[in-house]
Amino acid sequence: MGEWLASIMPNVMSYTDKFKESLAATFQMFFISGIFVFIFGCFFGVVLIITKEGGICENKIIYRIVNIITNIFRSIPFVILLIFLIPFTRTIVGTSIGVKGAIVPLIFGAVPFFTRQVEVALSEVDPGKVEAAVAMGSGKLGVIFRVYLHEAVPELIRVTTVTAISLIGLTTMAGAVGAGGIGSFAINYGQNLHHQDIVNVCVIVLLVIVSVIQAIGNGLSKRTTNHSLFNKNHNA
Amino acid sequence: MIHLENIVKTFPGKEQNIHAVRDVTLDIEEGEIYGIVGYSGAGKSTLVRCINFLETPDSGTVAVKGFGAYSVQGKKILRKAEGSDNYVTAKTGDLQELRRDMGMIFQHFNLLDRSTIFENVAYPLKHTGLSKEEIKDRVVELLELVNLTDKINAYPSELSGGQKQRVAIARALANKPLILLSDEATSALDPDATESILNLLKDLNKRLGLTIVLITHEMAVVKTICDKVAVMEDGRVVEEGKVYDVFSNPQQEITKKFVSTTIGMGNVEKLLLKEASPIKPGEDGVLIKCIYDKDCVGEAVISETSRKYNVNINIVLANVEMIQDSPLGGLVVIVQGDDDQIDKAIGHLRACRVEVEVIEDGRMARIHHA
Repeated sequence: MGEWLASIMPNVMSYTDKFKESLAATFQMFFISGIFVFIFGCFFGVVLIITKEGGICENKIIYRIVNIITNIFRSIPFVILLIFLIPFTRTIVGTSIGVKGAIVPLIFGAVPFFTRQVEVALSEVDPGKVEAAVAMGSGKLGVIFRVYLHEAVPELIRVTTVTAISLIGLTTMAGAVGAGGIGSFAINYGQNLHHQDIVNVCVIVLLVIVSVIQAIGNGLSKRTTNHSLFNKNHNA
Repeated sequence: MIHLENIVKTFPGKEQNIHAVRDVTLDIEEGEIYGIVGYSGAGKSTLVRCINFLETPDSGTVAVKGFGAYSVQGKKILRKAEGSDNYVTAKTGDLQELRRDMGMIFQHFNLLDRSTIFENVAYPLKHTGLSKEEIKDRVVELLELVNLTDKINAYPSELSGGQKQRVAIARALANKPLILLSDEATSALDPDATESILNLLKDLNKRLGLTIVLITHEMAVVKTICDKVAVMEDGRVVEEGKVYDVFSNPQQEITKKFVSTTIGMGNVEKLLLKEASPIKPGEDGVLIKCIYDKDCVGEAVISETSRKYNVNINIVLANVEMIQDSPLGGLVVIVQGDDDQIDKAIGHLRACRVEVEVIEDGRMARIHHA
């Protein structure tokens, strides 16, 4: 087995430690920044939905501020954002390279994207349900957690999946500017040393990761959706 | 039970403001089913949302028995507690409490799709201090009330429209409110489901003494279950009264229009007025419409008139409606005979408290020809 692998991808086999290290770095970046992205994204998505015109805490000023900041950071290409944030990252985490240095720009890159997605997911919740909850005496937190977030779970899972996949993409880009991980492994050991097999293996590994995320997302989304929702035949 | 005073609500529009409710004052008695009828855009939904402050009125006072009075002055909501004389600034909690004790049902049911029927009905019971067991008992009790116990673990999407509205009613009654607000609750339902929901509401009104404020654009709904009705047009209440009185003697144009949609006589009028209508009074006759109320349904007014004034009364159409368990009759007849006898006959009918409306006077045509 080992011999066969060595024959089709000799360079990968000679850098296995480096490869495992890169893989671990990718996962580290992905999970640590992912947690922050999820929390901040949900938070700002909820803020947008409730401060929007007609929302339960209508507030034009807050809505505008969050909306504009989200738009600005969404429109900056990630590679530029990486360089742009270097001084800021340094003051916050002390370094701008390695896994640690990559997390800050990853959060800044993915939160605005996820915020928008959450906003869209929540805006699909029927305003009538919100009204009914208010009419039943629910407070603002009650409406947010028991109606908005509760009713939008399948949709939130779907957008989380999309964001997770794009976050994997961002971690590899961060690799290009010295963050480590699969991205930098492919560039430094594959591209720069002309080891095509390393690039190929990196592509396959990324494909597998993305497929697994997508499959988990689809499964969860399906399970949380009320199944008979799709069976509309006997509905009035 | 509910007293609305000078309620005003204006929505800012792009070109001009929309005056949804203009200075409405209403009194709704305890145990009454009060209908508010009007075309879409008349402001009835906004008005009813002002009762539980889903919409905050621009100005006006809402007094609800047991909750004191809420008055909106400037941008502030002031509250005067029951028995007190002073208005103080209302707390958010006050309004939540008011809403908790006022059930509301909607046209599109607004159930939570990802929750079971049990969870939906239990929604308003959370944070009320009830234990899990007590909540369970209450939910079962509520579902028994609306006759849906077998669906307790189903999801809303597995239910028909009528069943969904039953769940919504159970949910609205969870905290044992004394008032139920119904916003077009039957408008999305088929006729059978509409009837069963209306019967349920009537039953709840009788059994629990529930005061129901019911918004609808269908006069048939008002006819079936309401005790009183207010007709709204362009943000104002243009006519108000007991349902029977409004039906037997509508004053405003819009009320007449609404009444004619549900009374059999309504459409006949259109037919009679057509140029090509086969029903013509003839040159010595008059085509009239008579509406007579419960007090003279039992009398033989027509044959009496016919004999007394020697006129022929040809009945084109006759109709009796049951409104609030009282009959309301309608007749379209052609009266033929001598000119002055016809006038006397009509005068006699009017004297017998029959409301007479002349649809077409054949004698006029004769005069024109001559």
